[in-house]
Amino acid sequence: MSQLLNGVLLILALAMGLCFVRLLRGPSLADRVVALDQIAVHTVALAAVYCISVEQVVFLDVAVVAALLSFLGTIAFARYLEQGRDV
Amino acid sequence: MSANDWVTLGLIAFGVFFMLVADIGLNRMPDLYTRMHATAKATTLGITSLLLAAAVHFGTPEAITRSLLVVVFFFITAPVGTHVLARAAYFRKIPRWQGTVLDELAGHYDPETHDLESCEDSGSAVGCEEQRHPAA
Repeated sequence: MSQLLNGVLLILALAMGLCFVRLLRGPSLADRVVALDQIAVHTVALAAVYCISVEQVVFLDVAVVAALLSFLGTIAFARYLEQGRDV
Repeated sequence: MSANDWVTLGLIAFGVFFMLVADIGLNRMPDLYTRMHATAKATTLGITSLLLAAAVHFGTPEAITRSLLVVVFFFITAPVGTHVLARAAYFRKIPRWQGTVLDELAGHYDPETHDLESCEDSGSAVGCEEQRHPAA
């Protein structure tokens, strides 16, 4: 079970790498914001799998906080985009 | 392995599959709007099944409450965040894929105030006539 979950964590980390590819390639700022949002979603997923892997319920709190912060970040970036600053 | 473990592993496999599909979509889709469509799969199906896996695995009230809290939070905030971002991108005129066939918002947004005019308020707006009397 623990070995399998380590494999799952590895797959999720590689999937996060795919998000970083989009973060670097752009082409617009909005694409990068979508990629950042997706990376935050992966953080929540990693926290959920890790808490099963180490048998610690406490790590679910990390998922709660990451979810809250990612929403705030996305909204802040979107407001910034909408106001039309040159980026 | 007990039945509980099998359910947990099944949910994790389902969730990780959708996370991967969303990331491939994020890289392969042609423009911003289709990319956002792809990532929505990770936030709904992927995250939900991974957190349900945690809830099933522990089975304690504290784990179930926290998992469901995050799931409900994502189901509320993911559409809001996507909408706000897509709206901002629309105002910034981020280019659409050349194969796009329909832009129902064209001419309905005030470029200065960012207000959306409704078809009930102004009968003269472009596109509203078709909306009321769609071509048979």
